[in-house]
Amino acid sequence: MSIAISMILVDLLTYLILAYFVVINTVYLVLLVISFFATRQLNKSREAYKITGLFDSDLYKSVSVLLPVFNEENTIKSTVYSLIQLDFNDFEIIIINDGSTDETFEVLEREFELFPSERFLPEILPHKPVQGIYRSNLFPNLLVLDKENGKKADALNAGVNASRKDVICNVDSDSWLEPNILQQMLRAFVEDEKTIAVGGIVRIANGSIFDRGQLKQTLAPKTFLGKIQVVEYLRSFLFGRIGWSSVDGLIIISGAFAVFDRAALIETGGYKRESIGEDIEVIVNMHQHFTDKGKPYSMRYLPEPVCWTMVPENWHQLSAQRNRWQRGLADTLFNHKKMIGNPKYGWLGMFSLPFHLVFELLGPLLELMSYLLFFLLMITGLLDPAFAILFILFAVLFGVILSIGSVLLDELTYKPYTRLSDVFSITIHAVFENFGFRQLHFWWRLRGLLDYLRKNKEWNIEDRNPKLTNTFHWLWFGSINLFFAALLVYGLVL
Amino acid sequence: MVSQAIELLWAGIYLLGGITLLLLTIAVFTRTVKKWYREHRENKKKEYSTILIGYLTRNITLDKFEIFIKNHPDSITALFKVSNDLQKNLKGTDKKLIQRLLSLEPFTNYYLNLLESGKERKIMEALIFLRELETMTSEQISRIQTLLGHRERYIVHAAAVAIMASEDVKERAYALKALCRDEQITRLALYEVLYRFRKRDREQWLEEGTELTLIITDPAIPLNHRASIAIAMGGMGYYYHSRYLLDLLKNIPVEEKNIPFLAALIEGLGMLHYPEAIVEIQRLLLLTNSLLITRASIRALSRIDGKDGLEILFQFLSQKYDLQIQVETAIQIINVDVLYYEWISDKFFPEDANPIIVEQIVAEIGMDNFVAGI
Amino acid sequence: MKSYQLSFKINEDEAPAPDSSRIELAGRDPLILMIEDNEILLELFNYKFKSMPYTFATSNNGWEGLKTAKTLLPDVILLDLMLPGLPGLSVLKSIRESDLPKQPKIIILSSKNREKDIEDGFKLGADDYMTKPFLMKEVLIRVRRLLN
Repeated sequence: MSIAISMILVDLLTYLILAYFVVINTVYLVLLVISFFATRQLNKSREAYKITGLFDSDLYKSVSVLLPVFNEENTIKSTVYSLIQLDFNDFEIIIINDGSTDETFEVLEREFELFPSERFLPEILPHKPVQGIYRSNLFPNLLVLDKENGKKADALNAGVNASRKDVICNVDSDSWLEPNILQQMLRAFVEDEKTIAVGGIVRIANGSIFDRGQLKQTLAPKTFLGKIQVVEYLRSFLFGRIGWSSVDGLIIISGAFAVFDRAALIETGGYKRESIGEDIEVIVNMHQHFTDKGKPYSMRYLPEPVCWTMVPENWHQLSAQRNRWQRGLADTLFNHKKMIGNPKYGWLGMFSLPFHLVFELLGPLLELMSYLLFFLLMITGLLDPAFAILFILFAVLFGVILSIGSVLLDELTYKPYTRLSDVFSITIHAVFENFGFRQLHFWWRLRGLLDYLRKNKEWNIEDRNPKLTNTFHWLWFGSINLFFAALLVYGLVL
Repeated sequence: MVSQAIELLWAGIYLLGGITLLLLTIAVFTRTVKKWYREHRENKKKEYSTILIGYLTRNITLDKFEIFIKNHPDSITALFKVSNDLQKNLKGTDKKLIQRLLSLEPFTNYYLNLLESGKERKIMEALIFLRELETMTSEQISRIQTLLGHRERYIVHAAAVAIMASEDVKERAYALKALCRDEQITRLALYEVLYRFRKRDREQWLEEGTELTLIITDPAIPLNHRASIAIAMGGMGYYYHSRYLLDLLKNIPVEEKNIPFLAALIEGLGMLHYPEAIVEIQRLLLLTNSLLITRASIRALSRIDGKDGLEILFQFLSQKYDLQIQVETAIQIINVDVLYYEWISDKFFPEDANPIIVEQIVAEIGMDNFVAGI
Repeated sequence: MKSYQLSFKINEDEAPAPDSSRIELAGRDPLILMIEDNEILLELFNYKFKSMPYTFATSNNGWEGLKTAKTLLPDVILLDLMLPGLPGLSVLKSIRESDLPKQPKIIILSSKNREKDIEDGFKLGADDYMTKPFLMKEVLIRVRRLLN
């Protein structure tokens, strides 16, 4: 009796997993195709909306670039110089020193000859007290806010208050922006009056050659983890976000480069200080606010504005980052649970949010369960090993196709990897990704979900012993691969 | 059952494997071709820029150049790109020489053919060329005009932009009007066209302004565009039409649907620095409590150079207004011409002015002997 | 985590090392340096100046341009404002603050035509400001006048 029940359970679970597999891959494939056509269409009309007129800037959108920094004494100089060379008619840079405990402020003060300014700072959005406002003697459009430590959202809110421009562009301190990025993002505002948020492609800077604030050559990163992340980012940005944004289901614009209409941002209450992933929260919050108010709005992802960002190339930082992302997603979905499955929010509520809930948030649980189930079924002899191996191969190939699809999409974008060896290496890593990395990634995300449930709201969970974590991850990584190898041998022997 | 499933899986794997290889081949192939093409183009660009400079420095005559282009039809797009990069920086003789070159038949014929191709990408390429061409024949113009009815909005926009290169005000106004019929055109997209609508030539100034006033009073055109044009008339300095805009402001009934247009007129008059508008702005502020009008008035009053305007501006520091309004007013006061600071410092703020904001203004303007009447 | 540096320094490392061999060339043709990122424009200027008694040097990057200015000690610099590497105004300021044996004359040649831009340019020590589009002849005349 109990055996029969467990058989039924196993059957059910198997179907569930199969359904999961079919749905997630179909959705990704559809997004890939949508994205392909959307990108082509966008490329066609690119020239049409290039604003070349340079008259009275009062009639154009002006931009405040917000750069929140915390303990960046080594990189702050180069980051600011890269922002100063942005090619745009009317923009200012607001650096928010979020209570750094190192020499960040002193470096800024020396390098840019800061002097105290009486700049008026209206208290529109809430944030921790600002101790001083400074201007640069070298660059009239550079402003520095020195404030008590809050979190990133807190710092950004202070920046929004200080801004006197139409558009807010927030960037990360470890990002490098293409000089024409602001002009390119302006296009979203030229095309659609209702635009309130714009995102661009984030690409991985590791490996590429930068010289004196200029990108000299686009090269793939050298490390294994770097290359794997190239595959991930290509997928995530080229078809994930562009695809979702073309069906109005966008729920995140990366904090590395995000552009908002300042008035819309203020209207929706700015960045949420208590949230873990402020970049995802702000978008979903805007969706909710504007739909509730019945105001038409538009959020866009464009394939051209390119921002280069440094990604962690070791296990312990990467796992902490992914853990945080997962907690951020969980937090936002929880805060906006009313929207999930709510027809009032259209595609977003009926499709995008439920998809993110089931496949992005709970997916790791299902996927890890499926491995366990596979293993159990195999040792009990209920599953044919040949079938198992073939199924895994099938799944892997599907993933690879999605990845190569995005490599192809990359062709349509602004600055693809040009070296053939990079194309091959990325493709090979799209295969490798499935063995070891994928499983570990799901494990981190599952941990993130659990940490969220345990109410862990820290920005980054402190890692007491990074070396140990790294070694541990390599061991895990090795043993997963050993398992796959054993499986293969076992299948071949039979 | 199991064996069937396995067979199915095998088939699936072969299929996916095939697709993988295919995609990979395409990726590698396109990348190689593109790389080659890019290098080829770079080389050509160098070669063509040398020839172009030879022409500008009168070492190569126009007819020799024309023969070269006829013999190298593939040079047209690259030559246009190089010429355009250069002509954007130049005026006078050099600019005229480049314009003369671009109006050669091989160029115009090539691009006019693209215009007829029916393919959006090619039409765009042609329109980008034509918008840089300063002297167009009426035949060319009329061919672009047909595109003003195209189903793709960006093509209509690009066609309107191209017609803005025409010397004839009437033709330009016609295209502008056609574009304005589409309510979905954004303010920025419209400004881009307006920017090109305005010629540096003073003789056309009056005529242009008159055409614009015709558009902003045309009931067939969506109100949002009429509002945008009213602002742009200020931004582009059609001073002779200030009176006309003011009359409009006086005569348009203060109704809900007209509010954005009224606000735009205020904004435009502000940019025109028209002091006679102050009385009218004051009247409207009394008639309505619309946020849009208030905001536009704050900006306009700070622009119109005059103590009367500033006096009214000070009222918005009162705490009975929204904090946002107080903040915007403060920022505008701070941005007022430094010449007025002395005068501002003698002024009393309204009784119920927000003390924090007043303090910030005093701090930023940097007046030591500031008397805040609190 | 931040293992990369955009390697960007302006004030250090390359303190103007006045090249003595250069300074001796007092009787040379006037040297004109153009810092501009539009390649074809550079080429056109190169051609124009070549036919005159001037030596002409170019740079298409703000940072490189600054370095070239400090080593070559030009008589006149034609400076664009929107430059890759380092904005033109910083190049200007950096040159003006350096202790070069001889300060060059600097003409800004930029498409930035707003009042504020022009004001900033002169404030930071430009000798002349021309907006694009410009008359080629006018540039040549202004250069000649600054040299006298």
